[in-house]
Amino acid sequence: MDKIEMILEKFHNNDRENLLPILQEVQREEGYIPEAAVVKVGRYLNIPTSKIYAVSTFYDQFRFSPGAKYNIKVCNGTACHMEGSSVLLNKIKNLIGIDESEITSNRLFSLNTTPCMGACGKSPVIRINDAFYTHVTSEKISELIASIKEKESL
Amino acid sequence: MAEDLHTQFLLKNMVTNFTGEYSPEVQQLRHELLRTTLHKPVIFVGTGTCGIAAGAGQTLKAVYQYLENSGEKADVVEVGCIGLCSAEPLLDVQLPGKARVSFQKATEDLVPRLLDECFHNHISGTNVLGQFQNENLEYWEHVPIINDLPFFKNQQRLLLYDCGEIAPESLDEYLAREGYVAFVKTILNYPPDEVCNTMVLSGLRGRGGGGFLTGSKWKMTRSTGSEQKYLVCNADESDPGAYMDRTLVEGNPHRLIEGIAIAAYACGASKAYIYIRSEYSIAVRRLKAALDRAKAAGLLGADIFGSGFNLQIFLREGPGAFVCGEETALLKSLEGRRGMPRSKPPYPTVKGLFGKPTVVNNVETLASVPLIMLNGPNWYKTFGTESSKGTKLFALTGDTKHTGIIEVSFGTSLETIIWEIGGGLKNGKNLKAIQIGGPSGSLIPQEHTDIKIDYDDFKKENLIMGSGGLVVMDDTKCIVDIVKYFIGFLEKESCGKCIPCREGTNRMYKILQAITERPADTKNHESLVRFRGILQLESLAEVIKETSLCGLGKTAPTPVLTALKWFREEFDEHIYERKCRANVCKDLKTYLISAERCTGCTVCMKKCPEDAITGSAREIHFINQDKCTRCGICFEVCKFSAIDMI
Repeated sequence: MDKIEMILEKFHNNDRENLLPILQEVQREEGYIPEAAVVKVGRYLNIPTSKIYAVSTFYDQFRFSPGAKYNIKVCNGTACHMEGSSVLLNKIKNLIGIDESEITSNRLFSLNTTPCMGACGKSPVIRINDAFYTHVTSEKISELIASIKEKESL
Repeated sequence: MAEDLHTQFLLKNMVTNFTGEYSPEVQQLRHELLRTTLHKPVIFVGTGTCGIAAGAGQTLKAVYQYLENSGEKADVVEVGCIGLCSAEPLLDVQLPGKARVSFQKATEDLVPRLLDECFHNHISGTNVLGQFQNENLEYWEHVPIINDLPFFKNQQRLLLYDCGEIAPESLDEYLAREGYVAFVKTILNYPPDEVCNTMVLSGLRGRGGGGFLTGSKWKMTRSTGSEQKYLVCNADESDPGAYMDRTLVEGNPHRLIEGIAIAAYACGASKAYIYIRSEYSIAVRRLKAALDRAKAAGLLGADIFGSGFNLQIFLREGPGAFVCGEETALLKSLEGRRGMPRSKPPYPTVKGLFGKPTVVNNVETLASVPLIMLNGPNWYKTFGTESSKGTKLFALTGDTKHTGIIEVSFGTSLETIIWEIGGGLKNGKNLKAIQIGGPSGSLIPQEHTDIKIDYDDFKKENLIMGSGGLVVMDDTKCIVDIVKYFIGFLEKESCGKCIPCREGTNRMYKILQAITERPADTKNHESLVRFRGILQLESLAEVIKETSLCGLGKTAPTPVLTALKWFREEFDEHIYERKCRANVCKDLKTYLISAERCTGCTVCMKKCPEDAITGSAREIHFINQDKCTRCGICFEVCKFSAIDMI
């Protein structure tokens, strides 16, 4: 039995209300939602694949391709915006050469904005994977990204 | 788990004992769980999301490291946030017999020193925030009581009372604080109608933004004939700059569960859903753990305490869509569909989840319920004003000295919040405006900060209280930019179902862009066009307000309308003079090098991130305006003030 079937096993009934929890579980397990999983989930819940895509693309959480090694999230809360998070975002875009919600071709970086992380007293805030960086400046982010690039080229 | 040892004992001897007089054994256990009597020191680290972001994870590691190195014995407890997020990470220490002392900004490098000081009974005073009030314990000398600090003194902390004090996942600690007493008493002694009446009497109004009487809502659902009814807790808090619900759940998840249980009983629901934003990973984890404990202790499930009342609570993670904060969209999402709102009526109270009557309540509303049932509606009515009872949580952010989650009685003025609780503005700047109620909330200028927090007063002034974001802005902030930011947010989050909202927010955003940005070519971008834009903004705003389907669209123009009402001259400046007085709209600036003052030192040339400056040593430099991104670095680094900003 593969991972997807094991997940489906956990949900005892095939009501439509389980669609989103199942997809969330798939993404937790795989890091993204592969096409094969959508087909399997569709068969289990008796929903056409197209409908599953229609629902899942509505929400920000779901990804349909594998994520990057370093996922950079720039907080776009009100306090961070006032402290210049959009300047930071542009700086990061220039540094890694991708736009928002994109991923670099070597799958090293992805860039996203996220609504308030709730660290407003320490804005602007960015998050790289699970690590938070507070009071981020242009210089600080340049150093951070340079150090990651250096580490990865070794 | 050790802490589950006492659950059954407490349930039997305390929770189901309604006399209020507890046996000495119970009292002693309570003292231990409330940490009035301690056998060994306890170290607390605030590990809410705000704490973790500030570095509480590292602080926690440093604490364990210290204990290992020094050989001191102490319990380490992870707690939620006391609300003062600007002081994070927080590290508290309580020695047996002594009051609990709290240290602010306790980063990992400070941990050994701070703990050393405590264990040697001498606090030097640096990084001390204060000590917790407890008359039975010995106080530290020269350390202020936390409740006397201006940030806390002016608050009325009914819901936040134990946030940051109680271990969030511990059922025993909650029981020791008379947790679940109200619930068990309610289901054993009161008929559901009486509970609804109590809620109506207390005057509790929905805290999600609508301000509808909670008790009446329950009654509506209760009076429908349907067999199956649902209760849904809306914890899909996605306003930028608002995190009250998250703090409540992270601080004390059991309080919310108890509130849900009472509400479900009152409106006749046997199934309840909690729809919580999936990005709140810590809150989700703590809520899950708390639900499991409550279930294991028999507080949820079938025939609870022999009352015949059954309740199942399901936890659902909202996969990220702002519009799902709207109740009909949320219900669609729970059904496994796209989270798009539908027109009302029929209201969810009559036709909601799976077509059945459903009550949708906000976290803050539900968390207030156990307190009202425990202390009675008359007690609750003593807080607040004539029309708005109780307390309201706000996420105080922006340019005040202290920021965080605060709880005030209705009737408190914005002035008190800014100057007393927030401690005034940072760096001695001047107050410009307050933005209240999230992205579709209102801007309030500095002259009107005497307004009181009250549903009716706000309505009179055409203001929206929203869920509780409160952003304080000093005079270095540009109103047009803030409005553009909010409209940009709403444009992105509009679900696209109804045209006024989908196209209207987009059009408003484009107009604001034209006002704040420099055009690629001058065609169609004369002042006249921009001026027409403003007129259009106003009429557009009215149309969107009148014709949108749901609350998101109906309130989307509020920031534009209130900004135009109070800050018209700033819009005019942007349009005619192409000037941003706060220097925030970078696109409107031009940097020029003065031929007289430039010494040709090449510093600006080297620092320019875009290579937009040309020149060679000892010759006058030149800025290529096509390449310039107006970052202002050259302006800052020039030692000869040779760069002019126009």
